[in-house]
Amino acid sequence: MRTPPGVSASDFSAALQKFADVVGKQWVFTTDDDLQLYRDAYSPLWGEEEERVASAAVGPDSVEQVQRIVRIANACRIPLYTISTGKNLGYGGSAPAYSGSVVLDLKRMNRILEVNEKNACALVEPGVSYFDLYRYIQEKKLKVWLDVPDPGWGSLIGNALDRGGGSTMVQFRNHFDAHCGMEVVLANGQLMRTGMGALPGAQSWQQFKAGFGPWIDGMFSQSNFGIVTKMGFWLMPEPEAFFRGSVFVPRYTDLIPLVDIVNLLENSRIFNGIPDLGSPLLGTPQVNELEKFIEAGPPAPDSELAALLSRPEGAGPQELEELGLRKGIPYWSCSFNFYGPEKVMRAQWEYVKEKFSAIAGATFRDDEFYKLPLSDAAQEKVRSATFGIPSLRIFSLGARTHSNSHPTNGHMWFSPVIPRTGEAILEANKVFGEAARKRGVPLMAGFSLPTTFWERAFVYIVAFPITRDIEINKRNREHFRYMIQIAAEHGWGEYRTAPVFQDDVMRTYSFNDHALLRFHETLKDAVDPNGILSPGRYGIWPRHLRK
Amino acid sequence: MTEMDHKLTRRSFVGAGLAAIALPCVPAIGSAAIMDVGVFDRRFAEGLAFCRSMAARGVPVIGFAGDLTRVWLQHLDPLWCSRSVPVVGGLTTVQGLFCLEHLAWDRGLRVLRRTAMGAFERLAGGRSEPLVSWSIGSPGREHARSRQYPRAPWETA
Repeated sequence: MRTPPGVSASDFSAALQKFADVVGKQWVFTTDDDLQLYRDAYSPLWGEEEERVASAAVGPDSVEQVQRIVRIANACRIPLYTISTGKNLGYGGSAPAYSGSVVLDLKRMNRILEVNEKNACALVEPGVSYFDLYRYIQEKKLKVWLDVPDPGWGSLIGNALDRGGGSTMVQFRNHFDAHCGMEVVLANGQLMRTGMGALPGAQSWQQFKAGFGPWIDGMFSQSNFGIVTKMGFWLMPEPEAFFRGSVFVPRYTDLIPLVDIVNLLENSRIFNGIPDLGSPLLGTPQVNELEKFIEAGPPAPDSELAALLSRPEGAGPQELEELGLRKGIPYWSCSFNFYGPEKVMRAQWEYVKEKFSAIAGATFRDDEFYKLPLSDAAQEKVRSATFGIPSLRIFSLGARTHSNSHPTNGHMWFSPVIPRTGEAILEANKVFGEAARKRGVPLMAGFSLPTTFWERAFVYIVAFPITRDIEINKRNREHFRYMIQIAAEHGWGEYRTAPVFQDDVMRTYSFNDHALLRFHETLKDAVDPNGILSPGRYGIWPRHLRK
Repeated sequence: MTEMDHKLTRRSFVGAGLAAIALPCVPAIGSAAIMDVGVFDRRFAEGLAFCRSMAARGVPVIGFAGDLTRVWLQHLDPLWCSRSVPVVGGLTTVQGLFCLEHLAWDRGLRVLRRTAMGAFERLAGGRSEPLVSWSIGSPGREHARSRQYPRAPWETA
């Protein structure tokens, strides 16, 4: 039997028996067969001694059971690692940050406690997946939408606490920002509610975020200070219609005013959906085109352009721009999603076009218009996440394709936050491109455009492949750490990462001799003195495990 | 061909599945197995052959073209939540099984049999992808017959 570090087999058996007394022995998992399910399928440490693995798992069904388990863990000094549904592939999955922890698997707590159509909000437990809530809303014919990640099989609470994002209207895309109120089991087993939930009988727990006094919800995201057992979310009222239009600009340096205008329009709420950057000239797809791009490969470029791009020395921006101008191939594109009444969206689109007309040579295209809700036929054609529909389609794209001749066993996301400017996009590509060439890092695209899920900043996301070859994985981990360092030297930090890199990233947030991490540690020591809650998660270790 | 793609109700699905249990074992592609419901990727000729083979045995089959969302949401998950969980067999891409296996785990089910089939070309586009023949059900049911230890998807060749 595997045991948590420093816990004897007999003490561990006694603790597991106590867990079984709480949840029933069928919900305590200790066999190798069961524990396989808690390995991270995308682990960059797969098959190595250092791979983070669980010693057991326990599946409570209620808040009361979670409280009792936490009290037992405290008394027996058993480290717990909490997961909601464990679908966080690419960022750690369901494997613990501290090997030997007992996974506290909350997927049985899957109750949808409330969906309030009038106020467009919901209250759910951690085991509720996007599919669960979507199905509930459809069955009840409620006029509200979810904002879903892709794939949509994970937990609302899990994704929000990891600070994931989606693809609909701007105020819902940041899943943590779109939450309202939490219930948390603390390390001593006490139950706490945040925001208006702290007021007994509160009637606005899911309507007013802050409540009274310090607003502490952020402490429970990307952390290990408590176990979130309920969480409220703001939902999107079903819009009347959807429209998508695109802007194309011809010159390399047009990227700078393009992004500036995008920012002005988004911050002014002239368009309310996601802006979607691409480069027709470089063949860099927009997010909306990604599935088609992966499935069918990049469209065949113009023959002269292909010859230019395939030269050993590459092609400079000026050469490409000149060719693009001559052939009518725009250097950059940006598409805009609108949700709302048709006449409002048409007026907004007119204004968007007016603003971009300031860039010489800008052209425009109307792409899609749908009355909502979508018909079944329309649902087959669209990118589901844009319409708040959870999907598994991404899994049909991961195999061998034109653009991916060597399918891997998953990926790890390198995802630094960069400023929301055209200059930063060009600079990031220069810096990471040079670093990749120097180290032989297998970047998947020649030129990367950042994701635009979040307001005010871009996230430059690059997938590093995971293989089943230990030596290749070791090399890629070193590359990944090198990129973290290079990013930090330029003032760019990761927004999220897998457990194996969380210490590395946390170390880069080092202002004033790591004052932020030291504050985290002070909090950890105060609220979880025995260090039983998810030790090591996001680089926060309890005192006895700090190096 | 009697593909019942997207037309089966939960009741007819389970009923047909249970009726099929009494039939002799189907010589599934790759390995013998009991199977109450078949799932196949119709982008591949091998998937269509699997469909014909199952249909000839009276096993209800569901086809899809790459995206498993609707098959899982409308058919498999309701079955997996039912009191009498059938054995679902399939011929899909490795990625497709990866996805279904994780979803099956959430309902307490396991991959009971997994046979790598090698790479096959799609009917349209000519691209080849590795396929796998599999069955998913309650642990123990097919175990007793096949004694094949369920491997994790990433350990499949």
